[in-house]
Amino acid sequence: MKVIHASDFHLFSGFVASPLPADVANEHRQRLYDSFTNIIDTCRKDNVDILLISGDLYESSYTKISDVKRIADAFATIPDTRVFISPGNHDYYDEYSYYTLVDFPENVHIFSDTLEAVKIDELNTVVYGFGWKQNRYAEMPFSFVPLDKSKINILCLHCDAISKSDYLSIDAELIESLGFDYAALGHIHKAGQIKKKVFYSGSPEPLNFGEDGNHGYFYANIDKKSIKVNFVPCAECLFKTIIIKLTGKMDSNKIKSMITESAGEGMKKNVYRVVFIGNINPHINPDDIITDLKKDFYCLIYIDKSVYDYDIKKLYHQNKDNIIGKYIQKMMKRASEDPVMYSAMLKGLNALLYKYEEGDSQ
Amino acid sequence: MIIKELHLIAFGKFHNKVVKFEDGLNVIAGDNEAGKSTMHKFIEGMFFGFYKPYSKNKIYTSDYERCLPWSGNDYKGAIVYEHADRTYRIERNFLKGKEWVKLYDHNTNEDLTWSLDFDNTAKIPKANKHINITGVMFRNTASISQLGNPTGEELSREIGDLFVNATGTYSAGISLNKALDILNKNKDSLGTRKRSKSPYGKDVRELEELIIKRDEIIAESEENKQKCIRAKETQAELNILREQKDNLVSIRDNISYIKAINKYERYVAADAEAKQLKEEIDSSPVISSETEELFRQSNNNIDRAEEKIYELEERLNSEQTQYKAFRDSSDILNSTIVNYDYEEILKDEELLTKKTEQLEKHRQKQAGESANADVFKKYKSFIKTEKHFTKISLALGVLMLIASLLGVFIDTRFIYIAAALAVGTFATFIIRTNARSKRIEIEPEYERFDTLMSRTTNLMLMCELDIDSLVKKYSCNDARELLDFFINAHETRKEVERLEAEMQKSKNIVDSLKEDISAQEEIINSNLDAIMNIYKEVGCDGSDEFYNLLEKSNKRIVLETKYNSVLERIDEILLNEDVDDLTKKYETAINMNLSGEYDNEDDIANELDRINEDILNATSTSAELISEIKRSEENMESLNAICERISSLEEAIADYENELKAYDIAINEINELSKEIRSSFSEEFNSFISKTVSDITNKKYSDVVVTDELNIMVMDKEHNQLVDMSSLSGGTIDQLYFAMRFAIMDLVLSDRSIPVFLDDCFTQYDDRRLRNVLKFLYKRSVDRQVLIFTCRNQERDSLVDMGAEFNYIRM
Repeated sequence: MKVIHASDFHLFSGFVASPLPADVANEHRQRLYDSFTNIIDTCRKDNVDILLISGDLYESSYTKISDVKRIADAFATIPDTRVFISPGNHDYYDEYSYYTLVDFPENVHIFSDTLEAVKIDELNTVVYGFGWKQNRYAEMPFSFVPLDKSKINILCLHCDAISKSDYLSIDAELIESLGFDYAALGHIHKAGQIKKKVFYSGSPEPLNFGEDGNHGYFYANIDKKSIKVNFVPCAECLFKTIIIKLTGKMDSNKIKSMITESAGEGMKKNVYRVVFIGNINPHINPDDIITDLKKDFYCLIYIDKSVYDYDIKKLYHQNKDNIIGKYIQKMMKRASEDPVMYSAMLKGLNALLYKYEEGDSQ
Repeated sequence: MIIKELHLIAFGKFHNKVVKFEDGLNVIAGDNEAGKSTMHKFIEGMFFGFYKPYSKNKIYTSDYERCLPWSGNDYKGAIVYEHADRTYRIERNFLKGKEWVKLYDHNTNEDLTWSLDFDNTAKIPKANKHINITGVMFRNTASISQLGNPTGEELSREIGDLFVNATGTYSAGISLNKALDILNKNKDSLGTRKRSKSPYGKDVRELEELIIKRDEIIAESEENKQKCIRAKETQAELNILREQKDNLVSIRDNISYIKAINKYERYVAADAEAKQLKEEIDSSPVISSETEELFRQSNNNIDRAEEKIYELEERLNSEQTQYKAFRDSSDILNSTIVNYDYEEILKDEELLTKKTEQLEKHRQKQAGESANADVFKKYKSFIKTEKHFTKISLALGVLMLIASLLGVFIDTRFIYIAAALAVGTFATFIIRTNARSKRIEIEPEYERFDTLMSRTTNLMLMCELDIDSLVKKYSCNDARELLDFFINAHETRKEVERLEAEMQKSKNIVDSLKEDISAQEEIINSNLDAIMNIYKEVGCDGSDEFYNLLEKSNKRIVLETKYNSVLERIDEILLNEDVDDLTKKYETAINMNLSGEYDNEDDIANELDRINEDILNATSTSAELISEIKRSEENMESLNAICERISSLEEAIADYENELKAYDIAINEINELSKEIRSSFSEEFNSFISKTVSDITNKKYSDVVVTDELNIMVMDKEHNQLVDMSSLSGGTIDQLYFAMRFAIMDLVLSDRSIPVFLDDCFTQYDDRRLRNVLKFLYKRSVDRQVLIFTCRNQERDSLVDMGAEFNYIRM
């Protein structure tokens, strides 16, 4: 039978961890929603038997009831696909959850906070699931039951099988040993097969700059004898980080070309974030560089971690015997270790030299 | 170096202006707008150009703009000076883009530009070769201008700066304080958390507001969920209500049939009732009300008559009894006087009266004579006395005789007694005689009285005898009794007469009563006849039967009334509807099997209204909830943007904090540095300054001490105490400032003989001070060209007064 395993859509959420320009953020939200509807379309076209959504389908604090209604309506367009949702920490299923307030169509089964086994006799399948009722589980809130090995056993669960955390940590070995034919996990945004039959589908689109792995969903053919699992990458837009190490000698053009080279072909498609490090010529303004490049990119933002390239040494030599020299001497050591100190030193220098910058007449 | 000539070809307001200076003191006087500062700037510009020092790029100072010529396309000049026994000329074009500088030997016109150092930044030769200081230094030392009424604090700072700079190689001329100012200003412009107009504060405020907004939206979203639940419940309610409404509506639609059922049933019931009533009516007798009335009346009449008869008979009896009583009384009374004839009695009474009157008359007469009774009494008493004393006298005489005898014969003592007795006898005889005579005197009166008395007495006696005989006649004891008897007799008679009258009255009454009684009996009879007639008419024998029939008759009337009302009701029920139609409708309705619960349209209408209202309420509640949810969901639209903005604000704020920290560190460091430097002031420096100050102030202030805090204290010799410079008068401060500037300049420039430019330095000075300072300057002008720019005449006058040699230029 055909099974699609997707999760961590985080529909309607904001991108707080990696702030984007408002329009890009809106578009990306739309992309996430599109990936959701695309999966629904695939279910319909291919007559997919089971759709497993292992949590974080929508971001409850940002979502409106009308949004969830849209989701429910979308599910209603695939009445022949059995949809199983195991709510996770971002869409946990309590009495005020939209899962409660909105009527989902018949083909959707939403797991609640006890381990439940749903039998699908015509497919000789049992789907096990657990829905989060709160946003943390420091301990296992349920225990597994022995499986009927004559059936195809599928697990749909939002949990952390990678590390020890407050997010329902489970040992992946345990899941494997229980003998599920397919364990559809959610919570980790990077897709991966962590055990032979234990999968994280990851989020279908990246959600912040830290996620540069694969983004898509799993399309599996499962029967009792074997499973064939394909990863379907469906991310329309990736979040890429470009690190540019500057030196005082580089001019604007050089920097620009460094950026465009790094970006490569995805310039018009992906979201790029440039991180400037190193020493920047004081006469170069990163903001101007990025602004100039913006028109070539779909979305280009930057973080400036560079520091001004004053020829401190020269300044020091020129002013060894006066205040400026003394000042540099005082600050230099600490400035090389601490960016705030460095900034302080520069500020002091600027102020000390200021008089001549403005040509105070006396 | 000595500056000889200035050629302001195109500079500021000047156009081809030439000014010549001499060695020593030069006084350049002109009004305020005459261009002294411009000239000053010209000198500076010629040597140094108008470029920002310490910049990596060619940047013009603001003086460039300020000294731009007012007209024309040129911006250039030349300066001629002597240095080390040679005369040089610098020519310079200031104009941006066209600037150049050339050095010539003024006498030979040899181009010496090649010998100048090149300014890599300004891309132009440096013209300060001979003056041998930088522009910065020049401005800080060789050029001294008026402080312009500084505060002591400002002054301290200035001097402090100069001190600070003077200890180094003095190429920096840096103002620590100015640097601190700048840092503080920059720090200030970032703002603080609290200062909501500052960038930092603004962001903080925005962040706070956004956080509040975000929390509000989130809270609202939570509320929304509650509302959703309520909306769901309301919707369910609504569904139930709608069902109920549909039920009612179908009932209402069926109402006409239900009504028909009702109507028919009511009709049938009424009809049956009517029929039954009719039967009863028909079987009831009819006694007309007149008959009844007559019967009653007759009975009443009879009763009344009987009553009356009873009454009358009673009265009759009583009256008869009374009559009898009267008669009895009368008889009794009559019996008492039956023995006597009343006429006689009357007569006798008259007689008695007469006699009594007579008696009385006599008595009265006697009584009238009573006055004379005295006479009688007297007479009687006289008589009595007479008699009495006659007796006595006799007696006594006898005795006397006796006594005498005795005396004579027996004892002589008895004579004495006899004498006494004789006396006595004589006395008594006198008295007797007296009495007698009185008696005789009144005897006629007495006789008359007596006669009268005896006559009346006789008359009275006779009367009494008459009266007595009357008394006896009537068997009384005395006249009184007889009188009473008579009175009694009268009374009795009267009573008898009265009684007889009464008796007569009674008799009359009795007769009339008897008549009345028979009249009443007549009435009774006639009424009885009437009743008998009625009985005959109605066909009964007695009153019981009659009443029976009467009851039945009355009942019939009630029944008739009832019957009529039932007929009316039937009409109301039917309301002109044909009974057959109704029956048909009923049969149809029964077949439809409807319930008759709401057979009242109003009930249904009310119920429907109620349900409609409920539906309305529920619908509006639901709509309200939905719109509220929608509205707050609209608010949620912005949530993403808000959260993202919050995130970037937090970053920005972190940056601000770092910046502020950096500023604080820089400020701190510079302050420390400043302290360090200040603490290394040398004694020598202080004493050098002191010397100059002493000179200029003509020894008034001799010792200058600069404290660690850059407070400048001077020793006031007059009062022998250290005084803070800021507490001195403006003029003194000016003077001290000038002195110190000059000292510092001296110190810094040491042997370099660079001209000194004094720009309006002495406007605050009074004549005495001016003289002192000019004296000082004059002295120093031996070593150094002094150019004094002024707008006053006092400098010139003062110099003239002291006989100094100087070059005077009037602008």
